[in-house]
Amino acid sequence: MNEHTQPDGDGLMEVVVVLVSIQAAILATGVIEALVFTSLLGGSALSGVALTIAATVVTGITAVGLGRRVRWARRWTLVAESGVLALAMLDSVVAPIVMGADLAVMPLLTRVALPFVVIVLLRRPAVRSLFGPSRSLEVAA
Amino acid sequence: MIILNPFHTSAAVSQLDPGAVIGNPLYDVLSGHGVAILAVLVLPLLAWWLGIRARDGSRRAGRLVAGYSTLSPLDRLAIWAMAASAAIHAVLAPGHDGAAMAILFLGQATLLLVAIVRAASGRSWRTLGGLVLIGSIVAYAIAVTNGDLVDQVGLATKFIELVGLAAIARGATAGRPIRRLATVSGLTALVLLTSIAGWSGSVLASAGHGAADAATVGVEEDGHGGGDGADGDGHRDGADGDGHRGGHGHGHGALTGYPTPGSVMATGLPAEATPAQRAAAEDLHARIVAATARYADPAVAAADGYAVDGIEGTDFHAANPAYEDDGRILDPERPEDLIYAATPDGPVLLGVMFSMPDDEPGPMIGGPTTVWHAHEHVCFGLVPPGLAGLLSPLGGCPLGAVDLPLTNEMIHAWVVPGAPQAWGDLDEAWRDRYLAGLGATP
Repeated sequence: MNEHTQPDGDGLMEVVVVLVSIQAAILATGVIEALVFTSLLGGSALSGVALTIAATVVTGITAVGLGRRVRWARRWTLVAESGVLALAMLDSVVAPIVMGADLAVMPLLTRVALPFVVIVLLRRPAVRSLFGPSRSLEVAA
Repeated sequence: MIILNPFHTSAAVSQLDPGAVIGNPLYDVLSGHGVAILAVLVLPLLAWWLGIRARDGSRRAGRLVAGYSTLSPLDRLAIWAMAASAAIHAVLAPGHDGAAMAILFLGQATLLLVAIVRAASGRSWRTLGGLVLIGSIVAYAIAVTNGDLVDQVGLATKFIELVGLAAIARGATAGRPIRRLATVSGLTALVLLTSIAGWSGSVLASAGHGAADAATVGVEEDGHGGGDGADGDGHRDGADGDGHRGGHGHGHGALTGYPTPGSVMATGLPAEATPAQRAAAEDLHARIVAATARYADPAVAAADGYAVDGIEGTDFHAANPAYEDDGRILDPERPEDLIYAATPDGPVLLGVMFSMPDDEPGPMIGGPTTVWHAHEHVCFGLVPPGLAGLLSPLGGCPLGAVDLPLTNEMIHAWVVPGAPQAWGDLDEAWRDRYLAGLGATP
């Protein structure tokens, strides 16, 4: 939009915030799904509920932090998304191929493509610069 | 033999060969929907072509390209999402039953195209784009809960639309925290709606409420009468999902439609077994009953290597790791799992489960009365180890669980006295009544 042409980094950061917010919404839905499964399957699924709740809260807070351009939020998001991507590559790409099973489209979108795009955007210099100089540069200065 | 290709295409059940092994369309791409993936992949080529036209002096293309270049990354994301949704609906319109659905699809695509052109022309477009995307997501939920089949392309389209909607909302609510909070809540509600639609549609497809091609869904239960799925009268006790510990409940006997979500089995088999098949099944069952009677005492099972510690619930599977890869198939003396129910008077042996080695089909010695099944996209929790659910329509497992794309084949045999089924799924209502009669609380 012409009326609010933003600096490139800011605009890209808004995209990151949208994608991380979508992840938080998916995780929140996952909590409800996990609760339903726990009611059907019993205690073995309870840890999944607890972990998914924790992930939802952390992702939501991180999305807010990214919106405010807080440095820890970028760092934490990079770590978390890398973990999600690595695990997803194993159980949504490698495992189906090895086991001769089908590749499902949705995990590829939500657990591979989405974290990959977030990581790529967060690592772009224009976005990095929004979070201030790195600590090593501060020390040098 | 279970063979699921990458982006497995799920054909209409009526078009499958008898005995074809299928899963629920929830995790598949429906026949005819694959072209939608191609349509999305073609979009960058269209954009590239538009750029060439602009450079060649086309005024209209030049205006669109110039307008697009002034948009923020957020707006560009929304435009790409709208373009993907429009392309998918446009290419799928001819393949849908009924002119009304085709018109709706084309109308949606046209309106999104209008919004895209308006955005690239510097005119207002967010309200139109947002409303069309919301309408598309809600319409999908209504459609799949009224008979349309849910599949990975449909769900992926909704995901793309949700991303587009989020981008529009973020751009429209900049500097308005209250409105932004409201839109985040609304988006979360739409994500939840998409998930509910996915689960509902997949369960309905397996319960005989699916689209026209699934209208014959039903199960003949071991020759004890059967499911005319068209009336949806719930002859399949598996239709209510993979309940309870152990995660079974997926229909049994000769399946003539889609399995429940998470299950993979043969469909289109004859409803009735031949006399020879029936005799073979009955003989094997009698031998299983005799051979496993000793496991009514869990201590004996434990001595033979079954993991009987912590028996709970009404469907506890006690595995024997030593029997899993012993090369013996359907050996009455060495079933891979024993199935117990916990009662106040101690565990009750209900049945056994036999498993096949990886990638090997189970021998259907009783024809349609002994149909093997596998599970797909099961979420296996790592802490503690155990079943944690099924892969969500949104593509994830609960945290701490991994997605098992496909298990080996397995079959249940029920040894509890008076069981209405010898093979497949045990009628849960009967089981609960039986256990209640023993003083148990199922």
